[in-house]
Amino acid sequence: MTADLSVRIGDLTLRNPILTASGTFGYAAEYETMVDFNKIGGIITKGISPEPRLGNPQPRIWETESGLINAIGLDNVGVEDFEQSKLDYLRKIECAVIVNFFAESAEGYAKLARTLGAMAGVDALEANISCPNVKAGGREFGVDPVAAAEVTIASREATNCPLIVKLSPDVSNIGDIASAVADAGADAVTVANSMPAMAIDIESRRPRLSFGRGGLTGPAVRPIVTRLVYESAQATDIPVIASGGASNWRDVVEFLLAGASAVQAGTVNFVNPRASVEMAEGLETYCRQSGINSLTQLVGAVDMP
Amino acid sequence: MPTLNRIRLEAVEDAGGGCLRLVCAPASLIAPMPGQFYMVRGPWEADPLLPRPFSIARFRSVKNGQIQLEFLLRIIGRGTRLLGTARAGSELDVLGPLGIGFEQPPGDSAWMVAGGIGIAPFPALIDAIATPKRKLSLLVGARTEAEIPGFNDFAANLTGGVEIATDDGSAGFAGTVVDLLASRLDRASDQTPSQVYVCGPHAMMEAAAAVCMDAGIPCSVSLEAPMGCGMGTCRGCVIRTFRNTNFTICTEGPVTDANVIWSEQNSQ
Repeated sequence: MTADLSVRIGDLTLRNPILTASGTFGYAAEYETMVDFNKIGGIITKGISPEPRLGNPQPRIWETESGLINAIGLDNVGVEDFEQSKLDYLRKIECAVIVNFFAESAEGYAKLARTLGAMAGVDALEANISCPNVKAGGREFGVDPVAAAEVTIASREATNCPLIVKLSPDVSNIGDIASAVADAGADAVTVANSMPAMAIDIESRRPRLSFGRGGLTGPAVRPIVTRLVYESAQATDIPVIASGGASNWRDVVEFLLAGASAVQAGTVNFVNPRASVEMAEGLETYCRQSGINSLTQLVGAVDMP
Repeated sequence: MPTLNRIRLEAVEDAGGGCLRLVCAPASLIAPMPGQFYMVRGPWEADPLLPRPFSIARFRSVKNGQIQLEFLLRIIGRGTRLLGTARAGSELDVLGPLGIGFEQPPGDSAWMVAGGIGIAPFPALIDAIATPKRKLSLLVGARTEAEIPGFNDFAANLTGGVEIATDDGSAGFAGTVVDLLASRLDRASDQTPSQVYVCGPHAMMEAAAAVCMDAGIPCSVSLEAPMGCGMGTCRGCVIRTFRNTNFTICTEGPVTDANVIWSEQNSQ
């Protein structure tokens, strides 16, 4: 008997809990020949902004021990070109299509959520709130429960499309933020965005990235994200989607035990474009061999001391 | 159309000038175009994490339609150290062929300009464009003689000759390979190349492109930047052109006409 691996996010049902993380999978077409989209729960697009963005100058990425620091600068095609040149392909694929988006103000989030949420072929939205709030002097929305709730309410009121809010890890109590966005109407939270990080060239004494700071992803951050997922799941009843360093089905099971209902494959896509499919297949095998019929038997089942 | 394949390493050879040649065992692969590249990684755990981009140095079609790949590398960090010290028989994951490669030259004469390990894509290019009629030349530069990569194994088709430049004057022309290019163009007014191909450090390619633009000679460059995915998705290798547009090296390049990236007005 095959296990039921399906997951519900608001009104959306995912075939299984494996998603590809925003910024690591383009707009899906790039991996057409390598990934069977029928085998994963869904794909999350590169973050879309109201206008196209060029992003930062070189260098944009720097590898560290088991991790990757990036400061891409939210390089993306913008919502207009997304609809014109990327959406047709996304409509054809079988798994869920989740569009990541961001703006500079609560009004900007609302406007974009309304536009994207109305597009046929968009199954859910993921709001990136680790972005500077222009009105608050550039402070990230995601580090303050009030501002996080404000953009969530604005987005929620603008669309009926299932709404996921992607949280910043750079907070002292992620449970407060998770419960604030849940109360504000989010259907799920993604935990978390990349970890603020930095690397310096000791010869030139300059940062390795043109932007100075960047965000760390990859296996190096996974234990930190496991803790953040656990705390978020303790604080709220809405599904928690783990994002940070998962590379194989064992990591998926670990995130589920910590309280995640779904897991994103991110940086691992660069190492192995087929990783998301391998994670889904590995999870299915694990469940079958362990006599697990439903993911609910795993989610949050960590036996804490 | 790229594929991800696990192939066996047949040999690691000394390629001269402190460079190593990774010779892969023949495998059922899609034949690359010269100038295309592969993301290469050993089957180790999470560190080093990302695959490394390597131009295809040479490839051969062998029995049963199998393809044998060769890569050239210089050990510069942890990734290249692990690859360069891998034993024959160990496995490599190769994702490719990726990107846009070189085009045929428009005429009967072409020069290849290499800065150090930038020689890497030229053996495959020479294999692809050599004809009995075509005069091909290689200009190769490095800081010092000991760092000039070997070229004897593909020199037979270099009927236009090979010239070396060293910054310290220890061999050949004393100066950079771009200085050598400029001086050779001055000398060669009656046999100007129909195409110049350049591969090396970014600043060297920009300088070589300026020399070619001044001389009105088509110049194609093989660009490089830190790469995460090789598939256009991580946006790590994106550079800005003189038109203030983005150029994604891994999918729009690595090979492109120099005038896509740099303005002719700025070449003075």
